[in-house]
Amino acid sequence: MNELLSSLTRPVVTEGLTTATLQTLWMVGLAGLVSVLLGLPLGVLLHASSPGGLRPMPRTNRVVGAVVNVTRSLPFIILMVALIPVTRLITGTSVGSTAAAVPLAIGAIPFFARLVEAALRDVDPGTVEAAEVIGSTRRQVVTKVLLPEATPGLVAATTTTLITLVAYSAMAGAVGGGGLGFLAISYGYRRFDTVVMVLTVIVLVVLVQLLQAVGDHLARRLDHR
Amino acid sequence: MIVCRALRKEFQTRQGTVVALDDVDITFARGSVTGVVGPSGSGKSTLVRCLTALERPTSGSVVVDGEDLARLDDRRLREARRRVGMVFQHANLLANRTAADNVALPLEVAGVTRARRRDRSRELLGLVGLTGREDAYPAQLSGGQKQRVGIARALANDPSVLLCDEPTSALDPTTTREVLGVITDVGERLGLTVVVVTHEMSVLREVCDSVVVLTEGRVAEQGRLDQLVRSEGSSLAAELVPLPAATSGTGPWVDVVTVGEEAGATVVSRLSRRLQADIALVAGGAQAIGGTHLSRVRLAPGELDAHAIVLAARELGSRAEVVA
Repeated sequence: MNELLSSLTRPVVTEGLTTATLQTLWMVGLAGLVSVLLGLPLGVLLHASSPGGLRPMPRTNRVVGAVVNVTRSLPFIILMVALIPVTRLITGTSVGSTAAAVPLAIGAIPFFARLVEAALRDVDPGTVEAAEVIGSTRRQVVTKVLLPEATPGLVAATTTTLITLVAYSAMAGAVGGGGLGFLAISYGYRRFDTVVMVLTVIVLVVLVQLLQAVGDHLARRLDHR
Repeated sequence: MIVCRALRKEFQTRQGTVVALDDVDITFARGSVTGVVGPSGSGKSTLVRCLTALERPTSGSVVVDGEDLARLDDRRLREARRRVGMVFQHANLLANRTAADNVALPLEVAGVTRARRRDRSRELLGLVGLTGREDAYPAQLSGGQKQRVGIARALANDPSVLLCDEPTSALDPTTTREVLGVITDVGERLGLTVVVVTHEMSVLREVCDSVVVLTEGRVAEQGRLDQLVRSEGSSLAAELVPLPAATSGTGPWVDVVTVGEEAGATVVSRLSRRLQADIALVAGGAQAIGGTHLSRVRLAPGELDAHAIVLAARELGSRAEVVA
């Protein structure tokens, strides 16, 4: 018992775990924010340009769709290495949590965009028609009908994206991004520190559970269907 | 008022060109309630989409209040659409907006101020009998109430035309009557040109004073309902008086349609006397349509020649035909 207590009060646990958790939250938060800000318009574009969409643009739709698919099919670890020059360009460095947020965001944008597209596809086309016959512009159809009607789906998409980012961030941590992934690899795995390993996993599980619970609650509250 | 002239709409499909509307001339008079009927695939939906300018005609014109929708640019077209209020089969309300906010949507789109929107949506919901339900979400409303909200929304921009596309097809008979009542009521009160697209003859019977029958993209019949049912060569009268399914025997039968209450009530006995034989009555029904009494009886010829009955009925001033 004493042994466990002393092992739990080591600096690597008290300070290390706190710092790592904060780094993970920073990575996920920053990358999540950027993914939502850029993925949302991309998802709207995918939906609107599709055949039968608000403004069908077959060529644009195919090109954007292809780019999204290619980005999504690359293993994240490869994407991260390939994006090092871009990361340097944006943040000035390729190590640290802020730098890691760059490939995380770029990986999550197409993922989120596809989820947005699916959520928009679920909106009753009759409501879009109703908006069109009252003289709405396409922009008004998007802002007053499509996005508000898809809100529960968009919240769910954000939740899923953030959780995926938590998982990816652990990978990013392994190659210089810091955070819980780095802690787990460098202490838990390489130094056989089971206590650190278990604690890291617990924090990650709690984090994911929390995100899912908050997301579900929010989606339910916003859903009036 | 809406005037369609030489309206034609083609669609290109892989199988070639499909003509959905072919040389359609219709006038929907101001203050009238016109039913547009026809089997599915007859062009009803395409006509609706042309009247709201969601679909551009291939040729011909759709003139609403003197303005040809086919010739307007996008911006003017959006403004012109506000003159046509549309009621949908499934109401098509936004699930995440309250009843009042749904009614306010057309006003929002038109750039009306918030305070004005609130007053107007309250007033419109009152007009359709939904005072007190302003803050309810569509999921909390019954089918009939949802359709009332849909009607209020259609009226928000002060349209001159109320276009209803199968407004009661998803409703039960009681709710259907309730919703039709609201449509005729607001139509009358606001002096609207009301167009009701429907496949239900009962809707035609209950609310319409005029009718357009579409068949395969063409206008088969049109005019005032009370005149059409009296005219020879119109199949409308028979369709407006449905017969209960025959319980026994097989055809051929003779269907006799008679205008006028007295004439309709005595037609079988008069026929019987004229032919000096008993005539079996298989089924019958009567309806009052726009002040005109219509009756329809189905007779079994038995020993008699069916064509002799047809001729005799025609001599007595009824319409008659042999049906299998």
